[in-house]
Amino acid sequence: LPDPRAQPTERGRPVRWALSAHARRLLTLGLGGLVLAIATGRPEFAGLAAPPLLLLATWRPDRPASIQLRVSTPTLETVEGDSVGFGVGLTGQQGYTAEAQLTAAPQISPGPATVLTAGTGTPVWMEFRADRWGRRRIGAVEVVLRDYARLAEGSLRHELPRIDCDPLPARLDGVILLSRLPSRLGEHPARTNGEGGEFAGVREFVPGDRQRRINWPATTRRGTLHLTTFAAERAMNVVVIADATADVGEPGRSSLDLVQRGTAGTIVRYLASRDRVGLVRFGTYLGWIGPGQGRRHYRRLMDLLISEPAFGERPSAVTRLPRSALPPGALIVVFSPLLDPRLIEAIRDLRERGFSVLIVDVLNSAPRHDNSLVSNMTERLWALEQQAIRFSLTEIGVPVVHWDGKVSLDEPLAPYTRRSIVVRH
Amino acid sequence: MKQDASRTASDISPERPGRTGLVRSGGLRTVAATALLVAITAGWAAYPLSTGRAGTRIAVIVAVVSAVASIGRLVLTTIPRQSIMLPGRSAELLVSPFSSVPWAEVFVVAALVLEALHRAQPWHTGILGIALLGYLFAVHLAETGARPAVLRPQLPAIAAGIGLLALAVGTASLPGTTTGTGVAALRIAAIVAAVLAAGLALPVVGSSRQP
Repeated sequence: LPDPRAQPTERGRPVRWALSAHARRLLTLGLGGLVLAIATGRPEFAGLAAPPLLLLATWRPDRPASIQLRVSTPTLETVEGDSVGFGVGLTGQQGYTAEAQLTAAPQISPGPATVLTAGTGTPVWMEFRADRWGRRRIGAVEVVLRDYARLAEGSLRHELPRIDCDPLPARLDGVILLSRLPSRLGEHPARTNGEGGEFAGVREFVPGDRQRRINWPATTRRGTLHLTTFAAERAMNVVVIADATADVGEPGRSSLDLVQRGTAGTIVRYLASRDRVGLVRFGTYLGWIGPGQGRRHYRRLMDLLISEPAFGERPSAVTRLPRSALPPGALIVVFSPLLDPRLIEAIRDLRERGFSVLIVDVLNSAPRHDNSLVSNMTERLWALEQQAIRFSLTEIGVPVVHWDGKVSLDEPLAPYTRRSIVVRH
Repeated sequence: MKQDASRTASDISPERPGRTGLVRSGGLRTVAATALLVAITAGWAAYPLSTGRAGTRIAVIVAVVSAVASIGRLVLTTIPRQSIMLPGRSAELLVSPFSSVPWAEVFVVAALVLEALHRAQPWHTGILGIALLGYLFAVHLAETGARPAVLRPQLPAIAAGIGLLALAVGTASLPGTTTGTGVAALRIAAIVAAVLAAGLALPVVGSSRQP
């Protein structure tokens, strides 16, 4: 739904009037009849011109030169596939019927055209849908005024602002947890004892312990004071690396689409469990945002995800991913089709630096080939090379899981969400 | 943070069913009626083909091509562009020849020329005029998707126009009106009417430059 705080824009806008297609056709018939009457000297052709010319004589001379168009600004953030509504109202149209239609920009699906009621000024609701993630133009609202005979048409246009369309987050219910968590307050039970809510064990009471935590059943059984201990609750640092260097595969489910949706799903899931999430966008330019929490941080992450940074370091110039984006002990989740050797080298470097890295492979297509021998052999070599890349990463302790975008992320990540990943440096 | 549990990334597909492929059945009915009307009009204007002067054959070809193209244009107007399942820009390339030329106007001119090339009776031309008027209204209704009831306010003007047409046909049918000073007077009256008709259009076109 649109933001109710959005202020409508109201301006007197000039109307461009022109003959309608119907009027042009009537004029053609009328003038054609008259010209033939003159050329041939046959009066019946002049008579043939009479009905269209009489019809043209009925149009209204009082056409408004300008009208007030009110367009309530639609919400400027949406998720791909969601409908966005906005209001359109007209005043001063002087009894002309008005029809509003959205002339949509690419990747935007407009809703149906809407007839604006004459004279009331009551805004009507229009809708559009962003079909793909990205920062893009919505289009323009075209209003066409018509008289009752549809002989004259007045048109005016209002350009809508750009919209940020976030990728639809992939579904991820479970979370991947590391065995060692940094000492920040959070919601994940850690291995160390602390002030959390999850039962950790029972131990003997020592002076200084809180008496309210005495475990009376154990104390009665053993004859000495025993205490219930609880697991500490910690937050985790998660850095998602989105590989935007390649976009291959079926439109709508290309590797880049899956990278975006997987990244968005991971960010949403970890931010919902109060973890600190950062993002590295590995595209034409390298962009990153360090881990953080909260709604504003989510917006910053999405802004970086959907739009290519206008400047920055090119990944070719980067030998190591920036330290500021990668806090020590962070879990690194990479969404990539693993087609860029620079990213693969960067992942190897991260593993050497002791980070726990997990790769979600989103490559779901192969190069096109005909059935020739050379083509088959080339495809086979390509497949073997891809297999070798994944094997070499697995060998250095970087698990690679494959995701096709049709199932939730929980399915490929199930082996890692059931138990904590043991951190080994 | 937006996450709708009922939707996943797999819900997104490049083409969504339900949005496309919808055709107005009423629109198609009007297009069918228009096609019938345009065929009758073209046939009426061409008949009898054997008595036509030089250029009749060309006029017939132009009339048939423009008639077919104008109906094709109406069909494409009725069917949503997204439902034309053709790869790449093929849909645009298919549609552009129909949308770039005003085929209905071309057909009207071709039918009038075809009629002028015959030595037809005045009542023949009168019926052609009514058929052409009906064709233009049918095209208008098919384009806008409106019902025939929207023409009700224009009925007096239509009736008056047809009355004038009948008067002209009757005058032309009287012996001796196609020669002598009557013809010169008729030509002057026709020129004045043409100037008036052009004057009707100019204020609409001119007002587009108003601030």
